[in-house]
Amino acid sequence: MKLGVSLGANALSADPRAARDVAQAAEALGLTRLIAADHVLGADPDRPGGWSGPYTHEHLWHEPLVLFGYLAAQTERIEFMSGIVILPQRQTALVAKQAAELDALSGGRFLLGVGVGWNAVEYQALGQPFHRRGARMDEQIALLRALWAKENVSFEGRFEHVVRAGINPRPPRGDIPIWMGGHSDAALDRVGRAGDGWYPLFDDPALVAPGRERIARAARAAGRDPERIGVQGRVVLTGAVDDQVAAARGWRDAGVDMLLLGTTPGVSEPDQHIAALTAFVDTWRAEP
Amino acid sequence: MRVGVTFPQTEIGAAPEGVREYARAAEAAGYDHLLVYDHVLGANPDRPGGFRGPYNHETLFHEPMVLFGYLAGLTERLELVTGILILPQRQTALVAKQAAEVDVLSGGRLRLGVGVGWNAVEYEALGESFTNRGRRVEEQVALLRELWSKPVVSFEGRYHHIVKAGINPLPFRRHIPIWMGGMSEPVLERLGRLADGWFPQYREPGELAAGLARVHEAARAAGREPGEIGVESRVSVGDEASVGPAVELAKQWEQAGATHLSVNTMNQGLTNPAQHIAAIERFRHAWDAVNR
Repeated sequence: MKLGVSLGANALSADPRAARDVAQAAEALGLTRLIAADHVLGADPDRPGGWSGPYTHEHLWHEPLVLFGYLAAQTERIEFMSGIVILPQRQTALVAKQAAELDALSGGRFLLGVGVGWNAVEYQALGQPFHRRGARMDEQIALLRALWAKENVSFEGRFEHVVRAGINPRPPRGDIPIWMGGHSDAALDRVGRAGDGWYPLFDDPALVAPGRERIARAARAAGRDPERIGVQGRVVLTGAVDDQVAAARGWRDAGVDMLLLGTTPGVSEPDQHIAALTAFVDTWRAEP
Repeated sequence: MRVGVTFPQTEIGAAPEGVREYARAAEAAGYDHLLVYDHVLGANPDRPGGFRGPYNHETLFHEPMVLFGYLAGLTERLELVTGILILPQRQTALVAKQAAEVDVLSGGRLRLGVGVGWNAVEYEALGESFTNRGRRVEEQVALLRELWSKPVVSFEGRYHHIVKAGINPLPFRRHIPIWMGGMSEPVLERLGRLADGWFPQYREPGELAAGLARVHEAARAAGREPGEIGVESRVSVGDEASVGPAVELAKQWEQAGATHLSVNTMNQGLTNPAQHIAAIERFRHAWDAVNR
């Protein structure tokens, strides 16, 4: 089981040195993946109808694709994955273009994590419909793959229209792995049908097996090999290190390929993140 | 006059090594800024109705926002400039977010040049209307400035609807300069009223005066100080023989009122990053010599 780091809400200040220091320390510790989330806008909770979302306008989120461009220049090996980009609120062709640019500049180190999100305020501000986001995402994934694979694309879908056009540069491998969040039946079926990996957000490794089973059924129905679909789990670095390591063993025993270490909530000092990552890694390597 | 380079988008190649070496060489040579063009997609010219654009689907363009994230980490002083970003084909709030991110990561080094473009194929593929792009760009500029200066924005426009939401982080100085390209009458009026600077595309420095007068007139009518609007022109440099005339032309642009200039090395027969680097170093050496 490989290890990665997942940057939570407000984990970094706006100072770019914080992002650089955490990424370089993670790479030096042998972590192989760095994940950053995506919120284009935050909503002011003082609004008609009230607010129940987990984040507001006061949460700082670096824009992941630009941030990864920056970190690609500061690191050599670590992979970058959006966790996740809210795909249906963005323009598909621009996501394809920016993902391909990132993949080229990082030497093939980018994975695109996508999901449908939950915040209608963001969709409205970005001028995209909130209510058809699941159906749109299916089509978006098909168009992304086409734009990455072929220099000349024509695509006539329900939502997307491209007439004999393409992006350049395309990804060096002709594709970029697409990982997906969520654990509803619809989300699991989509992973099996179209995804390269599954990024569940629950904390109970016992839920991995049934989820994987459903993904495998959907994959076989679509003529795909379920064995090639990755799974990552997550342990948040809070509480005693021994408990974190015990939780990590649960994920390992559940058969995940990648365990993300989530940054400690409420902490935004890079040195504290690095200390927490180091403490976990030292303990894990000593007695996995 | 501040002198920068035009990043040789179409000739530098996709590999990060060439991009890195070029940007570092530009900064080391003493250039003030690095300007990039923008195209999200290229059109295959073999299409119904034909195609007359200067670029096609085989032309390489680095994506400016991700590229600037990369360059923010590799340079320390170089101003990062889009010249121009085709604004009406992108979502305003995402441009605001990504521009702010570039600005934060670079310590306030972004200058955002915007224009309306010419390629309807790109607009269609990006799901935006080509026909109302001039009207939309004005609203976009207003919304960008709102989102960059305030943590919470409400905006009810013809094309944009935001209810009490904002981006975080805000730009380094809660402000990013917006420059505009183009030379048509509506564009000159718009940029005099709204823009922090102008990218004219005249070939001869003598042509600048009339356009600039129109820009300044629009600026005064809008209650702005015309002298605060920058003007960026360009010269092309390739082999050794091209350097002298380019320096002479740059001097003429300076005398005609250009505040900024960028040195272009594309379409000069250069075939790799090292040759582009050599060309910008040759120009810089000659430019420094005449200004010493």
